[in-house]
This record gives sequence, structure tokens and C-alpha cells, in this order.
Amino acid sequence: MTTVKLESSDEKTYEVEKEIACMSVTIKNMLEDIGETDAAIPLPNVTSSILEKVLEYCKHHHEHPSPQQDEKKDEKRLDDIPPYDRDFCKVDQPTLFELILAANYLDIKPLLDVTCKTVANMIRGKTPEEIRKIFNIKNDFTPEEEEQIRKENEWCEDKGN
Amino acid sequence: MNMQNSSSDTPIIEKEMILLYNNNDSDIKDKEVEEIFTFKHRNGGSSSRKNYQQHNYYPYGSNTKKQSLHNGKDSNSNHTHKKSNSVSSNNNSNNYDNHQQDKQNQQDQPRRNQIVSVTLLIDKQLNLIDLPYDILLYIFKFLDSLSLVRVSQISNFFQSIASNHDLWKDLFYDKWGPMFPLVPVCTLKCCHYYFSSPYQNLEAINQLFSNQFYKSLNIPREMLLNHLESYSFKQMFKFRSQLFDHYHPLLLNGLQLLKDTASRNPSAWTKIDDPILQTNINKVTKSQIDKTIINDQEVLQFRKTPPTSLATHTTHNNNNIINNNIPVIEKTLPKIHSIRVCKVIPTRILKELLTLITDYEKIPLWDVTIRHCTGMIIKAPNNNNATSNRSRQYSLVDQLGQQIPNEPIINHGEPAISHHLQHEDAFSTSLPIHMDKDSCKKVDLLHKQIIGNLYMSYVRMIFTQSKYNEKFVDVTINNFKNIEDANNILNAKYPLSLLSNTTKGNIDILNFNSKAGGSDYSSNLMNISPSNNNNNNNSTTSSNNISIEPDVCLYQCNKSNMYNSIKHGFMEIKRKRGDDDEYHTTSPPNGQNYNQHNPNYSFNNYNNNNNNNSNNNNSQQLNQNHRNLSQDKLFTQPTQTLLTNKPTEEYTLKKPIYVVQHAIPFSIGGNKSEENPNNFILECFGSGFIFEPLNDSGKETKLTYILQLGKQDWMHDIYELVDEMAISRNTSINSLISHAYQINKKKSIQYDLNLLIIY
Repeated sequence: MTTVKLESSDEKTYEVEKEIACMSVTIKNMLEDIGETDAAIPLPNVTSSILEKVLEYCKHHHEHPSPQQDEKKDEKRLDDIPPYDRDFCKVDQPTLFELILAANYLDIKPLLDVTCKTVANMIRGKTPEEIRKIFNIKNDFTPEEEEQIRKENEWCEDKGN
Repeated sequence: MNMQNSSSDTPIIEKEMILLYNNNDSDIKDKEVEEIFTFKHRNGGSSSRKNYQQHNYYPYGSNTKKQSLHNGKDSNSNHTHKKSNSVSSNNNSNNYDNHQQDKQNQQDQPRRNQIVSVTLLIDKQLNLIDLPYDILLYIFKFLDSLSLVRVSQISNFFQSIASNHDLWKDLFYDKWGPMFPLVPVCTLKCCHYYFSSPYQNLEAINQLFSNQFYKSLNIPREMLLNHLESYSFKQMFKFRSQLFDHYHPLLLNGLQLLKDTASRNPSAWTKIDDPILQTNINKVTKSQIDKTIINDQEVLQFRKTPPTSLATHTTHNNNNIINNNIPVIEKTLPKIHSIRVCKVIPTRILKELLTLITDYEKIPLWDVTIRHCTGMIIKAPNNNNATSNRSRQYSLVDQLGQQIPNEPIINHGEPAISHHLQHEDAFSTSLPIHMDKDSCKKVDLLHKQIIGNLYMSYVRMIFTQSKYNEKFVDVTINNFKNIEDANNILNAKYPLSLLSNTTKGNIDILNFNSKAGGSDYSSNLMNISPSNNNNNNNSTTSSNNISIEPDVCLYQCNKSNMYNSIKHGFMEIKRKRGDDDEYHTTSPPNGQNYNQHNPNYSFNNYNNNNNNNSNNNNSQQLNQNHRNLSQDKLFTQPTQTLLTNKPTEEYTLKKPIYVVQHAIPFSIGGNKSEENPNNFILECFGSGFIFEPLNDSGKETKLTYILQLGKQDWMHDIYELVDEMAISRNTSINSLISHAYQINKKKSIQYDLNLLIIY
């Protein structure tokens, strides 16, 4: 079994199975570009703590391949997150966002999906004020603007959707 | 977070590149960053956001320090670029950045193997707002319209993202279906004008006609402006929602009228005595054609002149019991003439029947009186995720739909409609207005030209209360036709073992292709399918092959046939129906996975064998084939029990389906309909079709067509007209039924053939 070395931004090196590492399309492409090498692949955008989590995720899914991975673009369901992934995403917000960035950078679609869905779940069904609170976002609308936007969007509010 | 530690124990100077993360209030850092890298602000958002850009997009200024950074960074930036494309196709606002990056990449190509580590210096923890634009878009893709609208109210930055064209485009297609379901024959004038030189006006035609169509609807100005001013998908989404809201009260009223009339005392109806009609009456369908007159019926209508503003509080009428925002009034019609045509049909043709009725392009096929039919779908079936109050809504629908008609409302001296609406008002305080949205399957606007200059314009809605009935209604939208076929094949006609096999298999086929794209199995699959694209092809392939190796080839043929139907149809279902897919609900997760996986395995395996051994002797292949068959049976057993009821359910009707039609104002030839004496408008109130199960088994359906008309100025002799209408309605419905029979027959012959082949 071939392994590859990955180096996080804080210079920690991890040796992982090539197959697991190649769940990241970015790493896969890099390996293709570089060819066989003993040198560690630097991942300057991923810190060790996040890389550890990402590798944990990849390992789990490598060992437990989910049979029902429909590659559907417009799959909008938010309640189909498998239990492992749900627990995996139970982290504080900054870590979650780091994971998103890492998944994006490393191009691991399942991880990106599941983390983004987690964020979407945090937004869903909340009022704008609640969302601001959850994500600590500053309201930069003037009261007039806010009122206008509220009016513009009234059509959606009373539908209960 | 380890990141902060890392920044402290790694000497920054050693690093060739420093990425700075910082948040809202670190202005000094901001400035430093800007001095080093000339940053580009995006979307005029808050300053905190831009810093993240470095993470993915490298600054593009030209001082030497920076240059060296880039050179070092290039292998990463290449990959970053690839990745950012993969995240989403719609990173519009990042295009500029990407372009810059592209240039850099080109410059940096020669040295792309240099690898440099980078330290992340984090001042603060990462916030949602720090995520790059395309990642935020990706997150928002998972949101529904309400959540998206709320996100747009958070802040300026989020408003700009949540108004993204592509986000709303997806939502629009999801909810309202196809974009231009409008047949361009809306008014005589524009027909003559634009079809006089169609090539000259070709490009604009779609847009022009839809605008003309919308304008002739006499909808409030605000709504129309809303549509005409902007073509963003968000606006169009809003427009369709408003249209739906606009017609909704009318249709609820129409449903009520229809039910009331249908439940009238049998003695109130008189037979139509007409010699021609007598000869036309079909014994098989147990036809019954009669008429009645309803006195002093109150109906909802739109005001003649819609108020210029939705918010005006002018009351035209004391009877105006409805919220002033809705431009409808209640009007008492002294006499309503009702025609009733009842027939009995087998439920198995109901689906075809509904398709013919609800697809407005097909109406002229069977309606003997119709010359043109134009329309538009306002609401497509909406099978979104179950909401928490869904069950509550169902129960309310039952209340509204069933209890109210049975209540002795009229005896109270209170008009049925007002009571009904008060009912609605009472609920609407605690519930959304569309409490019956689950029961409402499709709404469309129709404008028909009936012989000569007689017009009918109405809005139409399908109501049904039972989830079982969805299969009759779901598939009736124009461009979902292929679903219907696949559904039929899968649910009705194939033996159970194959049924469960294929329905389960298809998921895996898709999966398989995506997962093991390079493998031989999937390419074999792909090779087979194109040759069998339609049934004619299919049968020829099979007959050709029969001479060589009957058993094997027939089997293959069927398999690939099904694969095709699945490929073209079932994928669609999966996509459009989402969680409502019955198989998801009926099979437990374990069994499901099991079956998804294995039948396909054998299928692929089989094809592979077949291809490899095509030149070998028959017996070997037959053996293999048998093995595969038995494998299939083995694998499908778990679902067999789960799906036992499926084929019979396909043909049974549990609860009534109502297709309600109610007149709406529609101006013909611009805005001068009232001044144009040549146009006669036939207004129907609470008309439409009712399909009820005739007995408990639900295998036979009673079709009731009711047409209710008020007397209009142009009618000289309404009694004569009513008789004529009754005769023509009867003919049309006979034609409708025979059409449905034919379509059904064609299908079943085809399936029977397939069945024969299988055994």
C-alpha cells in the first residue's frame, strides 16, 4: 500500500494511504503533476488541526463507503446527513468554516457538501435577526433600507413556504 | 484553534508568504495588508471580507516582494483555481479575480513545481462573512426561497449574494417548472401581426407573447410591472407566487361551487331531451347527461377594473367580505345554468385522461369545440421536503374540503361562500394562507377559443387530498412526460422481481457510472443503451438477436430497455420528486442499500459476460444467464414483500380529484374587450371535472363534468345554448375517453409484449 506524506501549514507531517489522500482531488492532481515522490506534499492552506479532522473524515468514509451517494446537483435535502457526518460537523463555528475552506481547497466534495449543509441548516427557518446573532453579523442597513427590503420580500414571508 | 499557536511558534520571516487573516476591527492590519498587496474589494462589502481572498486568490499587484511570493505559490494557485471552478459554476463576481489569477498562472507556469509553505496568521476566529463568495453561494444553494429571502435581509453583503441569479433560477425551476410553457397564440391581433412575418420577429416572439399574455390577464398593475420591469429569476419567482395568490381565492370558491353543484339533490337535475344526444349516449360508460338551474348563486369574481394599487381600500360593494388587498368581489348571479355529464371509466385510464385534460396543448386534440388553447402553468407540483406543519395542513384540507360542504351552511341564511371564506380567514391568522397547498397540484391559466369568436378564459387548479392520488396528477406537466412512462413500466407492468430489481438498480447504475467511470462495466452499459433508444429499435434488436441466442438477447434487450427508461425517466423523477419517492419511504434503509447494490452488480456483470463471450457457444452463455437471473431473484426478495401492493395501487383511486375551472377576466385584442362586440366571452363558474372512486375498490372511476354558466348579454337563448353545450361537452368527453383508452392501449400492448418476452 503506497502512502503519501502531507504537510500542514504549521509543518506537521502526516503519512496517509494514497487512496485516502486521493479523496482530495487537489492532492490527486498534485500527485499526478509531481509523480512519485518521497517529499511531503505541502498544504499551506490547511493547519494541522484541520488537516487531522479532514483525514479522519476521509479515513472513515474510505472504510465505510456509503452506497447511496447520488451525484445530484440539485439535491436540496438538508436532512439526509448521515449520523457520522452530523457528529463530525458538531464543532464550533470557526472550525466548521475552516473545514469548509479546507474541503474547498482540497476539493473533497462530500465533505464540502456536508459542512455546507450544516451551515445551511443553521440558517434555515431562522429570522434575519436570529441569523445575525448566530453568525455575529453586523446589520448595516439603515432602518429605511431594512423596511424597504422587508416589504419587498413580504410575498415570501406569509406563505409559510 | 491551533492556528494561533502555529503563527506564534513559526517565525514569519522564514516564510516566503504570509497570509493574513483578520477580522472586522483590526484596521491597522488591514492597511498593512493593503500596502503589501493591492487588494480588490468585492461588492462593496465590509472590509473584513476581502482579507480572506488571499487564501484562495492571490493578489495581483506588481511589486517585487509580491512577485516572488507568487512565483513560489504557483503550484498551489493552480490547484486553487481548479478547485474554485469545481465548487460552483456561478462564481460570477469572482470572475475578475479569476482572470487575474489566470494571467498569473500563465506567467508562473515554468516554475510551478516550486512548493512553499505558508503560515496562516490569524487575528481572530473565522466568521461566516469571511468565507469566499462562491462558498457562500454553495451554502445558499441548499436553502429554500423563504430562507433565502431572510438571508437577504441580514446585511448588504448578504443581500447581494442571496439575490444571485443562479440561486433563484434553480429555485424557480424547482417550484414553477418550465420557463416558457406559454403557447404563443394569446390574442388574435398579435397572432396576425407576428405570424405575418414570423422570421422577422422570431427572437422576440416568446418574450413578446408572454408579456402580451400577462397584460391581457387584467392583473393589478403592480404585479405586472413587477414582471415587466425585471427579468431576474427572483422577480419572476415572486411574480408567479403573486399570480398564484391572486387566483387562489377564486379557485377555492370554484371548488366550493363545484362540490355544491355536484352534491345537489338528484331530483333537481333534468335530462336533456335531444334526439342527437340520445344516439350519442354510450352504454359502456353509463353516460348520464343532464342540466339544472341554480338560483341566486353567489360567486366570486374579479372586480371589473382592478384597483391600481393592491393596497387601495376602496370598497365597491358591501358584500366585499374579503380582504381589500385581493381584488375580488362577491356577486350574486340570479341564475346559473349547470350542465352535468357523468360517465364511468376504469381507473387504469385515469392517468392518461388527466394528462389529456391538464396539458393545455393537448386539449384541442379531444375537445371538439376548441380551436385554440393557450395558457401557462402557474404552479407545478411541489414536492418539497416535508414541513413540520404538513400534517396539520392535511387535516385542515380535510376540514375545508369535506366538512364544510356537509355542514348545513345555507340553512343558516348565510351564503355558503362567505362562510367558507370566513373559515379561511379564521385559519389564516394561525396558518399560512395556502393551507391547502399540499392538496393543490397544479395551477394554470387557460384561454380558449371556442368555435368562431367565443372565448373562455379561466384559471384551473387540481385539488386532491390523498397522497395516493399523486401518481395520477404528478406526471401531467408538459415536460415531465418521460417520467410517466418510466413510472408505468416500473410500477404497473413489470413483474415484481424485475420491478424491484430495476427500480433499485437504477440508483446504483447512476452511482456506478459516477464512481467507477473508468471501468469496463459502465462503458458496456453505455454501449448498449443508445442502440435501444426507442421501442421500435428495441424490438428490431431483439428480433435480430433471437435467431442467434434467443434467451440471452431477449433478456439483455429487456434489461437495457429498462435501463433506458430509467435513464431517461426515473432519473427525472428522482430529481423532481425528491423525498416523495415512494421507494424511499417504503423500504427500510438496509434493504434499500442491499437492493440498490446487488441487482446492478449482476446486471453489469451480465453485460460484461455477454460481451466477452459473444463469440462463444450458446450453452455457456445460457448458463451464465440463468445464473444471473437467479441472482436477480435472490437479490430482489427483500423488496418484493415491501412492494407487493404497488401494481394494484397504481390503478386505484382513493380520494376524489377535482379539476376546478373558474372564469377570470381576460382581454382579447389588447385592452378593449368590452368595446369589441365581436368577441363573446363564455364565463364558467366552479366548473370542471370530478373523479371519484365508484366503489371501495377504486378500480372504477366516476367522471363528472360540470359546466356552470351565467347568462351573458350576448346570449339570445340560453336554454338552447345550454342544450347545445351539453351535447358538445358529451361528444368532447367521449372523445377524451377514447383518446385515453388509445394511449393506454398502446402502452399496455407494448408492455404485454415485454412481459411475453420476459417469460
